[in-house]
Amino acid sequence: MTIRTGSVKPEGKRADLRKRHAAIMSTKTLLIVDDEACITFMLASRFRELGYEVITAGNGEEAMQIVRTLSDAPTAVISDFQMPRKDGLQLARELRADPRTSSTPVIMLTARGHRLSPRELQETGIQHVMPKPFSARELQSMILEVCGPAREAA
Amino acid sequence: MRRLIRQFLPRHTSLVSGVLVMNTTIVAFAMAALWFVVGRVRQDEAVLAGDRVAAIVAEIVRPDLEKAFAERDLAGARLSIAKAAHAGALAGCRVSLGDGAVVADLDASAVTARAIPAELPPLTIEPDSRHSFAVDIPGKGKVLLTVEPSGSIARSEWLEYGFGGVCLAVIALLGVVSVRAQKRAMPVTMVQSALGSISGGETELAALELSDSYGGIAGAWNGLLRELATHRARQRFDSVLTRRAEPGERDEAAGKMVDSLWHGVVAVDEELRIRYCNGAAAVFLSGTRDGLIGTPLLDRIEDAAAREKLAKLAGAKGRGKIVVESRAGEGDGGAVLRISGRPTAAGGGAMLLIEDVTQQRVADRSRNAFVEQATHELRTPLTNVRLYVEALVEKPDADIGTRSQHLNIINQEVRRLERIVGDMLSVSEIEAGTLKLAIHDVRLPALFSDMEAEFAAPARAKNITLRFDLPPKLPTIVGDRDKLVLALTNVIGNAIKYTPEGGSVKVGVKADDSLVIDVADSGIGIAAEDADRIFDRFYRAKDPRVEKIVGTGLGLALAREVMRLHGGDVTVQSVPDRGSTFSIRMPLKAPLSMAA
Repeated sequence: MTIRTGSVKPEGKRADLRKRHAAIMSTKTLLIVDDEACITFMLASRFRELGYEVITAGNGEEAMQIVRTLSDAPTAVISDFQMPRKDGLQLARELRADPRTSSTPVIMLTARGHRLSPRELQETGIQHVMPKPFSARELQSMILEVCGPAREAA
Repeated sequence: MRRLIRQFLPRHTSLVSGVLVMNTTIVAFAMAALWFVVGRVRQDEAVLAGDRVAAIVAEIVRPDLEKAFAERDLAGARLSIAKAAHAGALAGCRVSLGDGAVVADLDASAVTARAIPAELPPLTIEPDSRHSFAVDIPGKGKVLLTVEPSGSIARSEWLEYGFGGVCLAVIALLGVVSVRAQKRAMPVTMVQSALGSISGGETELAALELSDSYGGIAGAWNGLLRELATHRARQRFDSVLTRRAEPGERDEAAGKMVDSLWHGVVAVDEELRIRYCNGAAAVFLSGTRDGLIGTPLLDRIEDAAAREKLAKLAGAKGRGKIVVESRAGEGDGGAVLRISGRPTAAGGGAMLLIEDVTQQRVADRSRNAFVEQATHELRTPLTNVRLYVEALVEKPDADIGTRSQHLNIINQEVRRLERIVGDMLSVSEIEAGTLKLAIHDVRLPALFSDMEAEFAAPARAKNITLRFDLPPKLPTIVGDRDKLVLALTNVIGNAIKYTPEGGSVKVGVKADDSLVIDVADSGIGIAAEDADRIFDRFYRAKDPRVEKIVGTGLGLALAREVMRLHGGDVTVQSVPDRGSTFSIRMPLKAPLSMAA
């Protein structure tokens, strides 16, 4: 299984995504965003084994570019908080502003010592926060809760 | 008792000796009155005794008289009278008839009757049974026996009563006068005892003041005491002044000292108008010293919250201290002034101290940012370790390739954790001033190849060309390898961090007498005003381009500290927008600084 990063080479990639999208109409798509390649790799391999379709990105900017190329919004977005160029908070804000993804649940992984402020949560509509270090099992059950099992009848 | 003794002791005050005379007179008159009373009592007793004697004599002489009259024996009657007068030691004794004729008398010349008549005339004078008695002569009638006891004197009771009354009046008068005189003499007595206390060493003059109810003398005395107190205080003050300097010089010297203070000092009156401010305060309040005098202090404070708090100082009393922080200018870039004010002890104004705490607040913010950054730095590798360990535990039968990949990642992340913890420890050692070097041989070729390996990935991620220009032969040096790595990591890491994508970082190394490592980047450069301060702890340049870049503000401080412990230094040369060159230098032959 290959790990796709979101580094964008538009034309070929977009066609590829469209093809892939057609194939996974009935499965649920997770977008995992983190600047730590180790984390995205591990999470992607876990959720793919569970049957989810997984797309990864290295920062908020890449994630937004990928979302714009998708015809259907991802079922859920798992994003790190602190990332270069565009952080998780900004990503959540932009997802909320986009009508296609305004209702997509965002799970925020945060290494911040303190919790996110209520104002930040309100602004971005983030309902799920997973403080680092977390266990993959915890995240798994949270995903199950948020978007159900991978192979539900579409 | 003391007062009594004092009253009888000679006094030099005429008033006091007057009191003495008066008291003596009172006693004399009292004694005279007593003497008269005693005399009177004794006299009364003598009269009563005389009366008793008269009655006895009358009883004794009665039978003889009865016999003599019955026999008309005139001589017998006279004899019995004489005998009775002798026996009773009487002054006089007489027998008279009812018509007044004297039959017998001790004084023979007083006798008027030549014989005792046969018929006795009835008595015309009623006997009083004290000194005159009726003697019944059987068958003939009655005669009057008059007895006069010896020592009986004529008394004038009116004279006696008058004399007693005068005595009492004099005593009473003198008593009243004496009480009044004593009252008037009291302050004098007290003044005298006060003078005694003063000569005895009493210094608290206020304790010696008399109550004003004692009148004029007390008032005069108190006035004198106060004058003495004022005089003494002035004398003491004068002596203090002469010991130091002339008053004018002193004020000027104190004023100059306050003026050269780097904290602002402001004195305000009770309506918070500025009465005095020193040079620093004038700068903080953005005015001139002379221009500020008399203007309301609150007009000079930009911060509304601070203004509100300081307004409470108006008319405040007591020792309540008010401390406010006032922000000048917008956002984080503005100055922060800490103003502490306290009402003056006497009330009616306040003193304020103004300090510029901008730099402290900036450092506080950096410290908080450091803590946040450190938590993030620690949690990220920890998350990786946890995720991969979890995967290994869950799938013990995974293929060997996956397992070794996982273990490699765990190993790499643990080393990362180790390095972060080491950095943080060094930082706290620097903070506490206990950073020490552990001196060993350090092989430079190995050290630089580690550096190349470490920074290859981050440089590639930002598409930065990282080049190490190493001389063909590098010596082994003496130093603390971990700390040198720390210094180099921070300087090279900074270069990569602050160089935009597509730039270049060049590390040049020279080693002859000393080791010189130049780290040149094509980054954003450092403004001249920041160049000196980037080595300060928690200092981060106020360049909007670096605000998005996370940093602790400790890296360069750490690097410089480490290199200085090695006898070298870290310096920077920079052109804004063109790039910076950090030079790390350390002597190779000079002795190491082992100091903490």
